[in-house]
Amino acid sequence: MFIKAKNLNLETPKTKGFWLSVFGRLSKNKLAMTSAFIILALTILCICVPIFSSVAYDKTNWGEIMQSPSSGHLFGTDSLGRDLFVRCFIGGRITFGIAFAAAFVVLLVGIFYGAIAGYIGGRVDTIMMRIVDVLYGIPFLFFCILLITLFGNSMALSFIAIAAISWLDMSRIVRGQTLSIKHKEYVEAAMISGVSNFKIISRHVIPNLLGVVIVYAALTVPNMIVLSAVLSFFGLGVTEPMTSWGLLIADGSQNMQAWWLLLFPASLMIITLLSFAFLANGLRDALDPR
Amino acid sequence: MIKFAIKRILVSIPTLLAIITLVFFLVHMTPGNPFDGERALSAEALKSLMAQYRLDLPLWQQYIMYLNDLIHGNFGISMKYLGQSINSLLFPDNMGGFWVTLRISIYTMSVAVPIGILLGAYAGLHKNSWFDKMVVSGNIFFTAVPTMVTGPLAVLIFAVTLRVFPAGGWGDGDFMHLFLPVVVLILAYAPTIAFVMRGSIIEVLSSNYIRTAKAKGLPTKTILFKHAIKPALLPVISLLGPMFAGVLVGAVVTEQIFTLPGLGVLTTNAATNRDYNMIMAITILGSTLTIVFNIIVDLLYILLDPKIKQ
Repeated sequence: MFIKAKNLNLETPKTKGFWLSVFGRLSKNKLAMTSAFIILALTILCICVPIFSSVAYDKTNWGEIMQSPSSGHLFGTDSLGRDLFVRCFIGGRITFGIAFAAAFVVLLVGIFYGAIAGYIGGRVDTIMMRIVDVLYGIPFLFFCILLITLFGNSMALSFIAIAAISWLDMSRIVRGQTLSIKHKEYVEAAMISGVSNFKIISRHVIPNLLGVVIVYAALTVPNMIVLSAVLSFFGLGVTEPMTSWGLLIADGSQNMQAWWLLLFPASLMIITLLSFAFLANGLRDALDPR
Repeated sequence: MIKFAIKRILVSIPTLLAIITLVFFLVHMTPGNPFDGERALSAEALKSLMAQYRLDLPLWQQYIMYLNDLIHGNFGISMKYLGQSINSLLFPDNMGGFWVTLRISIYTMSVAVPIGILLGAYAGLHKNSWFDKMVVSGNIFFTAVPTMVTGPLAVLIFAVTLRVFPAGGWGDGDFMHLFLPVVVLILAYAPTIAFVMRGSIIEVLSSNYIRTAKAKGLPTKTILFKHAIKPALLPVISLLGPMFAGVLVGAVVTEQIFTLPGLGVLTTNAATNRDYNMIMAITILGSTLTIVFNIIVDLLYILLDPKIKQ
């Protein structure tokens, strides 16, 4: 008992120190911090702009069709006279919503699947990873389209379909990580001294997975943004009058004469995707200093 | 080598079979039939349709017959264009369907691979130069920003504003019509190849046998072309298998942007009309190609890597 208590005392400040130093390193990375700030700002704008704006996102106005950007309509208006500024941010809300929700499901499924396969090992591991191999053989986009066609074109279902087949990478990464952690001396020591499986997983395996998971989460969200946007080009996913960045870009590329219809949603998307890329890079460097 | 090749092919057959089975049962176990949504059909018309598509048979019989069709290279009948075989839509006699997608993918890869390798090698040899930094940041940008954003922007700049290229369409497959879509695809994939090549050449150049070669006083050219290039290419080659499959899918997306008459149109039509047979066919075709490319790349890898050859 005494030894265990002492161990705990040693352990707690050490893990705290690790995350503090990670944050310290991250906060020194200007690019990553700026990116994080941009993502935060965009998220807040997506939440607030539709609430506080004077025009609704689906308010058509036949008197103001295809207006170029002006002080009245910052981003101009579309072919139905709807304000693009509001539409960009309500679309951002949908895009972010789908992406974050899908990423959450992906992480959850991926971590559980990978950790179980890696920790149990043996035949279970072989079978579980064979299933992953098979799913890897299917071109992702086609499979997504197949699922959405089968289960109907609703937003909730399309995000489930997206999440259902995006966890493959995550599960592989987590499995590999779990395998290597399982054979670390401190886990073996814990096993020998009779610590329960549950405690080993919650104390040693999951905290050590957290780094990988955080980096991968920062990579999964933009992937989900892109995928949900690509689906819009195939007429799947969000439908009018609701919108998403993918749908806005698809619309914009139909109406090239009105450049603002393409340029604003596309720029928002580029800014977001790059921010996530830099943030993920920064997180990776901060978590794994070499 | 031949033994390995045969083994590699045999191993991938169950994978393909598993994919086909998964797709088939996913489609056929979902409640409702594909003719639900259409205008009300009379009971008899529905019955004859069901018979035409074998939907009246027990599921396992349908499955066996579908497999049998696939072995004979027959993807079945389209549910949208009644009576038309999917093969004639996927592989038409004139330019269209899969041929368009395949052509774009081949053009893309045959430019992206050499350019990617050259840029990557040059960047790796001049680490931390401005050129190197450009390759690295180009990789970050084009990995993050997909063709569905760069594509429409390219159309806006080069077709609508500058009027240098047509905004879309196949034309007769001429240079002007295919330039933008292929360049957009190249931009999406060449940076990744360059980045991997850069990393691997940096690693190879810092390895022991290169140091030995330098110490022996071999000229730089000999070191580079005789000793460094081959091992440095290996990671790039193992990247190409999954990448070609990715390019095929990327080409489908690009077709949507540039309104090319390839697999993209077929996919959209199939998705909006719930043409299950067509989507199944496209998914299975894509999976088969993915698996085939992975086999080819694995074999190429063995040819180049003396460590595995023995």
